[in-house]
Parts: sequence; C-alpha cells; structure tokens
Amino acid sequence: MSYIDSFKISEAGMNVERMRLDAIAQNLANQHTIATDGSAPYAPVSVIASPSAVDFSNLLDGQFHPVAPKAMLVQQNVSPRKSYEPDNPMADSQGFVSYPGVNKVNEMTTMMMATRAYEADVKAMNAAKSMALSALDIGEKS
Amino acid sequence: MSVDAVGFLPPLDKTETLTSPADFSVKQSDFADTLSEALSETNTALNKSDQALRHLAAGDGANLHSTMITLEEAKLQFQLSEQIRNKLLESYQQIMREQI
Repeated sequence: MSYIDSFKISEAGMNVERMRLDAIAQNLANQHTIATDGSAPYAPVSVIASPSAVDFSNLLDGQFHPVAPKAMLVQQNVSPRKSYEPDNPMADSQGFVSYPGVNKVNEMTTMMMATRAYEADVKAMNAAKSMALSALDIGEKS
Repeated sequence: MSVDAVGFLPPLDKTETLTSPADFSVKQSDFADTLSEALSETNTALNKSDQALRHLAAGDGANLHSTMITLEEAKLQFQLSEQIRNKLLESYQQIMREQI
C-alpha cells in the first residue's frame, strides 16, 4: 500500500468526524426552532459511521486492505419537547409549543469525542508522513 | 589405516532448482526513465495542490483537511524527486572521482 493510500485512511476518518460535528452544530442551532407551517418540528440528526464492506476474496494474500469508515445521517429517536407557553402565537389548543428534543448534554459530549477523534486522525497522518520522510533519508551520510 | 567414506554429509540427491539469471531481472528501466517518471508525477501532484488551493480561496473547496493532505502529498512527491536527483548526482560524482 503506497503512503498516499495511508493518507486516504486518515482522510476518511477525518471526513466522518467533520460530518459528525456538522450534525451536532445543526442540532444545536435548531434547538429552539418551532415549525410555523404546521409540519413536524425539526428532528435532530446524528451520524452513524459503519466500516465499509470487507472484500473477503483476497484477504489471504498477506496485503493490507484498508477498511474505510462510511458515515450516514440518521434521525434520532427523540420526541419533541413540549413547553407550556399559552401566549405564544404558535401554541396549540392546549397552550403547548413543541421544540425539537435536542439533548444538549449528549450533543456536547459527542462534540468533544468528535474533536478528539479528529485530532487523533491528524496525528496518525502526521506519523505516516514522518515515516515516509524518514524513508527518504535512507543512505544519507550523517 | 582405513579410509572411511564421509558419512556425516547427507546424500546429494536433492538437486536444488537453480534460479536462472532471468529471474533476477527487475524492470530493466534506466535512470532516465525513473527520473522523468518521478518528475511527471511531481508535476501532477503540484498541479493538483495548486487547484485545491484555488478552490479553497474561492470558497467552494472540499474540506480543509483534504486540501492540506493534497498539499502534503505534493510536498512528499517533490522531496522524493529531490532524493532521486541526489542519488544520481552522488553516483555520477563517485564515477568522476575515479582516477585513471
């Protein structure tokens, strides 16, 4: 596997974590939105990353076959948060307003995990690059 | 004094398959080919990184880390070409140093 393919592994990981952060940012930005046209309120999304399919046909040839993560957006299984605001023009007949059920604590925790994972991917890529640079020093007179 | 047969050596009935010299031939490309290949790959990588930078400056680029990775790949490719040049120069200088 050439060193460029090694970079692609870390790049795939970084893409997943960036998408995760974007989903969290979107959830936090929309946490106080109310659906004005009668449709359902905003549904919080989260990112599920799964490893890409492993090709079993050539697993025994001793080569490294990278398994890159694939991310997809799924809607979370939360019900909207109802808050009693009778003087809100968007309140329903009982005076409740439905806000998206965004769990702020979960989002902040996931955001920290995504940031750390992104930094870990960057470190891995830097290590691969410095390894390639050291290989270029073979035969160098010190 | 009896002369015994040398018995500690195993009998030579296994003939090893000798590899013919043709098996050792790596791609017989000379240095000029390697160098020009490396230069063209470096050129491609540098062009890609230039394009990625332009996209980023215009605002419609891919992720920032993709641009950085493209830049780093171009830099690494360039350093590889530089090392090839160094090795060639070294071999040339060594030959020139030999006195007749």
